[in-house]
Amino acid sequence: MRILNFTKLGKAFLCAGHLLCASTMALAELVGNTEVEIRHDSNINNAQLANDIAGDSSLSAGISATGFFPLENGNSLSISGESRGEAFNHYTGLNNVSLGAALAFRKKWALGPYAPWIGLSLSSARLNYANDIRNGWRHQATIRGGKRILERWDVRAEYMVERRTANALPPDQPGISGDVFSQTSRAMTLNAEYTWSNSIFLAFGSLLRYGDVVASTREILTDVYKTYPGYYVAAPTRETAKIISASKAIAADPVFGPHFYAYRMTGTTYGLNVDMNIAVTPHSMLRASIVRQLTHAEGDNGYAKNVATLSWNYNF
Amino acid sequence: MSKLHSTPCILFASLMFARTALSSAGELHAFIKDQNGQPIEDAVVLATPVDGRNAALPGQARNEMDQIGKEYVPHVKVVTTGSNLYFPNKDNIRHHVYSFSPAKVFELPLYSGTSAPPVLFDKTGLVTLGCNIHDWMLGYIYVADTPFFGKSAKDGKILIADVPAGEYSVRVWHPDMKWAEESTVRKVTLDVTQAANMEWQLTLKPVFRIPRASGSTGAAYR
Repeated sequence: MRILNFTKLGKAFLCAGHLLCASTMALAELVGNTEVEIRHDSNINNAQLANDIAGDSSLSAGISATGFFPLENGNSLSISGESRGEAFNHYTGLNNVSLGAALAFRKKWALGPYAPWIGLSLSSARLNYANDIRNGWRHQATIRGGKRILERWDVRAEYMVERRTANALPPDQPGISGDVFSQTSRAMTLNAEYTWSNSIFLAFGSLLRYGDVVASTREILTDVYKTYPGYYVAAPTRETAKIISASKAIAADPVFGPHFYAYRMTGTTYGLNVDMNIAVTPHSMLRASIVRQLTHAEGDNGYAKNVATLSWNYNF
Repeated sequence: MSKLHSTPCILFASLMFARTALSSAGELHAFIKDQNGQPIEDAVVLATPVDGRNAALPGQARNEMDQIGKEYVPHVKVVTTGSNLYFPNKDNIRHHVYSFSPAKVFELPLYSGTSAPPVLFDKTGLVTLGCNIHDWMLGYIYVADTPFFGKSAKDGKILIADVPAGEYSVRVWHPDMKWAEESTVRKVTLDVTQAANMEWQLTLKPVFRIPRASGSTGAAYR
């Protein structure tokens, strides 16, 4: 894996570190978090055709630290840093490490757990992959809010704008950009959490996302047609033509094999998720999650995927 | 020398006298268990004289409800009406104590250490405590109208000592009990000859506390 060059982020973290130290002196609260996660994605390359779909599992671990600053009138400010690593079972080119920071502000309109709240956050993270074509930055701006509506029901909504920047790759197709992994998207999620018991919590969520999606599929650029005896004409398959015509960028994607290409298209994703959270101890939570996502991309393209996750989270 | 030898005898006689004097007060032993027969911690037993004696109580000198490790300690605290209660914050962070309970509505905005003024609990009843920073923090103050009370330990046992002889109305309260406190009321007559033993079996309801641990960093903080 390429050696990370986090100079800019390092400076940001130094600043954050200074702020955290200063805030600690001012009775800020420092919250640490570690997480280990096992994840299986049934369609990790977002492929449409059955022959191209690749599923894979990954193991990831992360650690984060949050400096939490309660302010007057129910407001709070937090600054956090997170580092994470993920290793895949088959497609090791997707192995990655990330280092990020976030700044968040929250406002609560009354006292107690039933008070409505709203939060704003900005975050940036650097992601470096074993295969560096995906290397880049991820920036997110999020507004979220929620309210505990009943003793056992807590609801929240979130709207996020995400921008990912990656190194532009050389064009593979004439007239089409090679900058596949630079993406912009907007996503809205609605979540409801139900307290099943004192230690078991069920969460139900829905996702509506619009923006760039990247699908990696096998290079099947041509079908060979026999026009008349002795003469053959090569032409894109119908599926490939659909993908190419809808793509804003195309680049070779060796992560999934020598004949795979990544296509960036605009699409709308609909998602549903069900989570079960088990409070193992007052400081740790075990989470099992199932996600179903359907994406409809331009040009009558689309893909579906299921993601199953098992994670263990420890706060300290 | 004889005076010196007589000193232990005088002390012994004094102790015996004191014991005799104390024995004019009765004892109440209680055991509280749940619907499965398991002992219940933090159950409160209150004995109120039927004839109304000691109904009006002077406040206790000093009482504290600590905040340690982002929890209220103890989880359940019993004080008598008219008590001043301090809320020392023994964490090295700030807490924001509040209560919406009819028995006492109050708020101690963000503070650390022992800077918060005491709160006067001048009305009988239950006061539920929360923290506006840490939603999972939950504590209870039971403001009692009698000085004769006790709180169960992990073994479910309670001893209320030095209760003057007489007839009492005894009741039990627990934060998770399903039925009203009034359903537990019993009458007992305490005398100096033997301790009264009482036992309650409470039906507890599920408790839905906000989890302290969260799936993502900071999610438990609002």
